[in-house]
Amino acid sequence: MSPILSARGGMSAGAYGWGAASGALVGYESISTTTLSTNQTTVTLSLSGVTGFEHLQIRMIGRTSAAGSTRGNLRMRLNSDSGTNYSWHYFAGIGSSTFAAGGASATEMRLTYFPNNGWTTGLFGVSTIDILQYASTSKYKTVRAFGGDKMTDGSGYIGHASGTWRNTAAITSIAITHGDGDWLAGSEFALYGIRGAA
Amino acid sequence: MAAAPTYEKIASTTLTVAGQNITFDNIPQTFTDLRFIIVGKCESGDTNSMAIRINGDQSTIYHTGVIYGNGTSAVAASRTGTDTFIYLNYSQNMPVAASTFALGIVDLYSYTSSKYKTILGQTSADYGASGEVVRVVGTWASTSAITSITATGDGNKAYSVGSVFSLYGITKA
Repeated sequence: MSPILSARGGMSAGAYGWGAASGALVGYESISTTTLSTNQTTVTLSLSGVTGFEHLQIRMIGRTSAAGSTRGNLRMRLNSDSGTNYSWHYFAGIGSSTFAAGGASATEMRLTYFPNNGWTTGLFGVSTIDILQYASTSKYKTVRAFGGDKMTDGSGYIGHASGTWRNTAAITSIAITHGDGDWLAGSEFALYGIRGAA
Repeated sequence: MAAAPTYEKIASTTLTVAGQNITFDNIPQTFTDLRFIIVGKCESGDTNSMAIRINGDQSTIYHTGVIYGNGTSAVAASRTGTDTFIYLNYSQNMPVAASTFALGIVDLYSYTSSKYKTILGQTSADYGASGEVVRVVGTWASTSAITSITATGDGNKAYSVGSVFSLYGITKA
């Protein structure tokens, strides 16, 4: 089915000089997707056998099993490292308040918030997480995240976060947890690779 | 590991005459997420904030949360169930000066799912003496699949000639 472009407001579509086009763009590829059928504490994305990409991107929707109309951070560890090798910072808005926080010498990165299970049923938070030059063996790894949720029965959250793993090893696995509870069934974690210039 | 290209342009258009409520209908249901990009301005004398509407739904089940900077301060705000669209820029209107356009990038996650639909928006508008950078989260409180997206405005005014609207699909493995 072809998409149809139209204009509403008293003019026909033909008056707008539509120029629909279609075609695949190279350089952005799906690697794996994990969709939870049951609640799960940790979602681990393996990079075993993944080669040829410059950067990674995770696009996800999530909600936790924890009780209450509250939120908590997504937490990330790389290569199963639980040492104090992470730092993180974020700024955000909830309702009419802005806030920022950070941590150093931490055992994990704390990135964008996701909602707990007391909010409107069926409403998940979302986030896009970029991991730059994940395969470099000479640079510490930097992560950034952009996420939010807007509840129908209360406040909204919108925030940016960044984190660093002070290790020059190539990333081979990404472990994602939540500070408050398990990831709720229906949460989805899609991993993409972004190619550099040929 | 074999991987297929997953970021595809669905449709794009550039206005050759001014128009309001620019709609992409019959969106293919074969992708996981959508990305909608607006490069837009409005006509001289008009006041119109950039916004989107889903499936032509004009009921007040849209919810918007924002954090923005306007040159002097950072502000957060929230609107719950009062609008018939999701705001993309917020404290400012789209620019009206010649050759000056605002940029809106909108990600619509799991647009075919039976969950409520959540979007993230990134909007920038800088036009001399004023401007704003905005990050937006929006909910369309419907479990229906998204089949159309409309670029609209809170003033229901026209987008100017040269405004560009592009829709992309992103597919999961």
